[in-house]
Amino acid sequence: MPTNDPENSRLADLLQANHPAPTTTFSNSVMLKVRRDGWRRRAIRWLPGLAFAPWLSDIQALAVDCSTLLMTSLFSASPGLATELLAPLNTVAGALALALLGLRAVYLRLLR
Amino acid sequence: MVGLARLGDHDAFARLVDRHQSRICGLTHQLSANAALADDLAQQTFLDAWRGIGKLREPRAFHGWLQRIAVNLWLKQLRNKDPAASAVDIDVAAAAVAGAAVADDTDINIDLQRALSELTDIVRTCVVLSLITGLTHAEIASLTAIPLGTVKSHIRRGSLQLRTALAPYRPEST
Repeated sequence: MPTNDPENSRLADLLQANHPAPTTTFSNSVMLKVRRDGWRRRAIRWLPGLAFAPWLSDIQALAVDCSTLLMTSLFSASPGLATELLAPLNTVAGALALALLGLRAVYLRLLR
Repeated sequence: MVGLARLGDHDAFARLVDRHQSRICGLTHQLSANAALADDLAQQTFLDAWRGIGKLREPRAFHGWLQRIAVNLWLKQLRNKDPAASAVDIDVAAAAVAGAAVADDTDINIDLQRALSELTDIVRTCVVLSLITGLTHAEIASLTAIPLGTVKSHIRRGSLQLRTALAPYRPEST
């Protein structure tokens, strides 16, 4: 303590001896945050690819274009039939793009 | 223990939290006079310590290092002028009662927390930094970016105010 004043020394002793104790859950809350921080840092290290947005937004269009080409050339299907046959595939591609966008949102949140 | 925590051992760090939480929570409580804010600051202190423990060169200086993290977080809070930081916690005395495990005498604990909460943020900060962390007046002036003369005046005024509030607990008065 930087003072030799006995009054201040006594005050310092009082301050050091009298303060509210931490809540009973304090330690658990801290360790929960520490573990969460570990996961956050691991995710940031492992998922850098998700930071690149352009390829994500193109996934659905690319999947549909490729499969349309495949269906029309391999099975000589008419464009109308190909579209009908591709509807479920389109849904799957959409779901995949949505999932990736969701992952990207999580990743961007972790970066904050 | 610090060595193990530096290697990423969660259990070792948890034991460090158990060992130091009381004094760090006490410090953040006395700096902020706001139970909720003090809890947040103390949690952030340990989280920052976990993130930076690899940079700690001297394991025996762990507590002083923790104190510095807590003080810097509080000063940052003050600089950002977060309304939560300047709001005097009217429940501070109640919180003191709830957490009176550290104190032998609950009355003095309540009165002390109330007296602290009645000081302005900056006066309280100067007094607590001087009396609890053992920083010199010059170090406080440098940390808080307040002129040295003002720091001394804050400490003198704050200490006097606290001594007056706690006069009933002087040995000769009891």
